[in-house]
Amino acid sequence: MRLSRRGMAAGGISLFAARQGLAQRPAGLLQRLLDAGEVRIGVWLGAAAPWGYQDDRGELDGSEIALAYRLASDLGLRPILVPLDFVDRMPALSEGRVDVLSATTAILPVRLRQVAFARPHGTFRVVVVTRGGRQYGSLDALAGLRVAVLAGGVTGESIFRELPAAVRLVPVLNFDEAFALLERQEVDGVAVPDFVHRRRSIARPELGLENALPVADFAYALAVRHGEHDLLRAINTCIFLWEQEGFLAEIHETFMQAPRPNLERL
Amino acid sequence: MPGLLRASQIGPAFAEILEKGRLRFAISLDNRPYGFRNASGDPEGIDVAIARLIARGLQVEPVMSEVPTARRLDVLLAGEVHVAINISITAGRARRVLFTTPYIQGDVGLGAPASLALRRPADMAGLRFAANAASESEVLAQSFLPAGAHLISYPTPDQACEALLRGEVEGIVAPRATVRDLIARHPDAQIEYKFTFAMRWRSAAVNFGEHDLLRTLNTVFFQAREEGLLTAIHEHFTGQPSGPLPAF
Repeated sequence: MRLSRRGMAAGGISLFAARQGLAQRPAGLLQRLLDAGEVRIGVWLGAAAPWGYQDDRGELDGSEIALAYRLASDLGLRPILVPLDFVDRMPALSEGRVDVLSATTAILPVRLRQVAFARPHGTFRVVVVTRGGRQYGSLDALAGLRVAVLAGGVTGESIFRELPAAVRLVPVLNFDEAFALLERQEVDGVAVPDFVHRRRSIARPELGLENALPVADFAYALAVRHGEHDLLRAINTCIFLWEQEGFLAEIHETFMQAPRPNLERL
Repeated sequence: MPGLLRASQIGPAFAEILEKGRLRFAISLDNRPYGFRNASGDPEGIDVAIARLIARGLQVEPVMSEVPTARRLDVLLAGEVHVAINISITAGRARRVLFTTPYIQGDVGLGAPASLALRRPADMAGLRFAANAASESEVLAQSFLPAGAHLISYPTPDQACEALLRGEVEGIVAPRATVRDLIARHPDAQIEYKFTFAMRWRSAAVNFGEHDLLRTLNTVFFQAREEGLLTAIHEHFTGQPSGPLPAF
């Protein structure tokens, strides 16, 4: 083994100069963000709590919002939160309108070609919710019925994969529209994440949303554009630290009002 | 075909390592039990063992550049070395370098004589404490020490330990392994590990853009973890087995 004792005397300085080429690195997005001092984070406010919403004072709140602010803080950057429509999340990232997505972005095979996912930090279960008085023992029992699904979302994809072919899917733009259709009996069920179902049941007990058939589980993560390896590693380092110090568990318990499940490493 | 194998596809550090067959580490030898000189004057310690482990994994010659603990990231950023060993993972440092998955847990806590009843940071008021300058221990001490406690920074971890042995300070804020090593080498001083300020994980660091090197190091650590080598290194130098290591 070689061992060189090196101070910062003249020899060290000349070595420093000789190594400049090695130290020079192409400026990725992370370096550009650090130079600019700010980061644009795409968020989704249509989830109807707990991930992203506007509170009574018009302030952004929710677990993904909290994560976005924490990420910017840890990277030493000023956060610029950019609310995005549900179907505009991936395009906004790909087209460079935002630098990072913190928008309940579920990890789906179809999205792997579009974005690079960080370590997953949350999960949700998609359920088909029907109104009280109508009991269905299984997903097969939904054959021939109308189920509202979020256009372009995991609910739609999972429904296609899991539900009987005879189910009639009704695409909607947001969960409010889905529940409105259910209330007017224009659909027989809505496919929504379990957290959305739970909160809606509490907020609108008169709808009788007690029936929920599980469809599939999904993990979600922050996302960046492909090729931004430095930024992705920095984000994954932050997520690792958040896991270790309990920040993710705290966020989950605050907004989901349930213990955070263990997640497999991506 | 040559276009597919262009060296520009990998980072300059990794390309140089592969081309020259040598991997330069920034390592500190004033930091027991992580890095020190043994009775023969040879480098030894957890960090030295980790550097050898990495070099063996890549089948290259390890070249260790001895630098003060506080300057390890500086020499990495300046391109003087390829890898810096024993860097505590923090979000602030994630803005400067790429971290490997952790290879050792390095909780930071308080070491002090058994005669002092120190059970929590509030008990430290009115006393003097040593820490290594510009280290994570110093940062944590600054944030946890109550008003009236005095923090004295020393250029190296070993000098901070010596200050405690000389009675210049009443305690030392340092990694748990450092305090345990001090206890083992100086049983007459009757020093105890009092409590932990914060859990910390230590890893190796490489420069931005060196993702092939990063992935290679993580693979080496994965194999070493699976084969029990990481815990063996920890046990050899601390006398205690390591706990489970998280990965990312």
